[in-house]
Amino acid sequence: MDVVLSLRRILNRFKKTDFVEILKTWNFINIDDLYASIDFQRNTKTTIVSRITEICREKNIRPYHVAQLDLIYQQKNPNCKNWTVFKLSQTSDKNGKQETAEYSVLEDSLRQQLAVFFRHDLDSRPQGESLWFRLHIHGIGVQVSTSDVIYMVYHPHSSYIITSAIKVTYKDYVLQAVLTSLKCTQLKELQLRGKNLKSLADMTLYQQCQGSFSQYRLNQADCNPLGRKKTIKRKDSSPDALRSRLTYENLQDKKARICKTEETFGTSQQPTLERLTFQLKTRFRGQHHIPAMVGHHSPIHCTVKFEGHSVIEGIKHLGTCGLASLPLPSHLANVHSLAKNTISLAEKS
Amino acid sequence: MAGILKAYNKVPALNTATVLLVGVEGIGKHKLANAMLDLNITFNLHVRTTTSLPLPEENAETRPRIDLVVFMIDMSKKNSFAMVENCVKLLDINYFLGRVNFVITHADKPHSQNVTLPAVLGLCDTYDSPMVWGSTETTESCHCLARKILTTTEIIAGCKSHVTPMLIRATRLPCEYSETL
Repeated sequence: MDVVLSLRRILNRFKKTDFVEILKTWNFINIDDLYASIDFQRNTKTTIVSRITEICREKNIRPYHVAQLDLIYQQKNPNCKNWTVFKLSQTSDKNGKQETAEYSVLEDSLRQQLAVFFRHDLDSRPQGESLWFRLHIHGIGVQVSTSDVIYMVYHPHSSYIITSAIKVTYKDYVLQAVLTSLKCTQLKELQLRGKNLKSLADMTLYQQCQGSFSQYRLNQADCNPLGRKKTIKRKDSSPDALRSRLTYENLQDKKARICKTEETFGTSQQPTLERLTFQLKTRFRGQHHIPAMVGHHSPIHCTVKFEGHSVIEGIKHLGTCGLASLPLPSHLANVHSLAKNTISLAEKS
Repeated sequence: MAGILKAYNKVPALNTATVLLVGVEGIGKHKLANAMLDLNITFNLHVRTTTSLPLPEENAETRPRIDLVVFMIDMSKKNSFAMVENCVKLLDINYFLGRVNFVITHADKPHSQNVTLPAVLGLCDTYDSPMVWGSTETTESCHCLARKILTTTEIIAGCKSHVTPMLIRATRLPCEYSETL
């Protein structure tokens, strides 16, 4: 009974327009049978969900299928959860890399390790180069709460694993199981959290090629030698007549600023971070504005928080908007390569 | 002195006026400029925009004579007021005889103002120039603001016979300076 309940709950999360595509990916029900009883355009979402649930109940749906559907949903909407990044490391006697990237082997070994600690359900689903795990820990009682389900994203042969929020009571056990199954000796929680999974993965996996080096990673450095060059320049229509009467005096200055910003940050979209915190333990540097502080040399503790829907993109635009003088100091200019949410700045001693 | 924008060192063009809009980035200069150029007027209008004075050297040869200087202040941005305070000292004194306007935006939202009203009034009184209140957020308010500025520009361009900007300034009712900077 509660399999059907969880199925209904998961189906309700989808948008009405996504149902056809999702059912095809899920492949538990033959979609042609459904077209007879459901009109995906005209019926309401509740009707569609109840019909699908009925059909699934008749087909005796198992928890495995429900888990796969849940993973499909999470893979489609990865930006709803708060993700944390962990770094795995090994001692020097091993080669340093996973021996196998076979998904079923990884899943089996993880399941074996977790069985030592709790009763659980583990399912996995690959997406692109990464492997998603869905771990449902059976708590006491029948109710399934969302905090008992943990999602983990692992890129085989990399040393990073990204997880959603883990309850404090289970955290040590889950991490120990992950550590043993992936044959590593140490697991460190990085100071990197966020909602955008793809950005977190990019920042950790491609840490050495962010900023202006991203043009090589994203294949923007060379132009296509077989591409046609536009030889005919079309004359601009009437707005240009208006534009010739409007001149921007500081155009060269603006172009120089944009050029400098592109040198530091590159031309492509920056990874999305929601929050960036600087912890400062530096001495006071505003003596120009407050002359009374001239003799004060001891460090002052201060926290500066940047928050927004894409903080690194905002820092990139600070220079072009004229709000910060270029070149930006290194702790701001290198933010894309640090892969951290919290950065400490201290005096050079 | 290098850097001072001179009022009368170039020859004016026939039936033409050039307006210089000075304001920090993001204040709405281009919106206002486009609104001004959209209006139907009898003379030729050229608009130049800049983020601060002194104007860059590279355009000095091709730049026409600036007839009207409009300083834009956004009351929700302290840096816009600070920039205008510094730049207004770099204008030739002849501009202050009727060829300077202060445009103030965001004055209708007292809770988001970072610049105090006495400071703005003090600036306008010290430099004895008219202030125009408006907004650049919607196209209608932009057009409204553009029309207010163009009434002054028409006089400067010489479209009104026997009327000069100095005459307008001189016929204003004298009042005591109410605020100091």
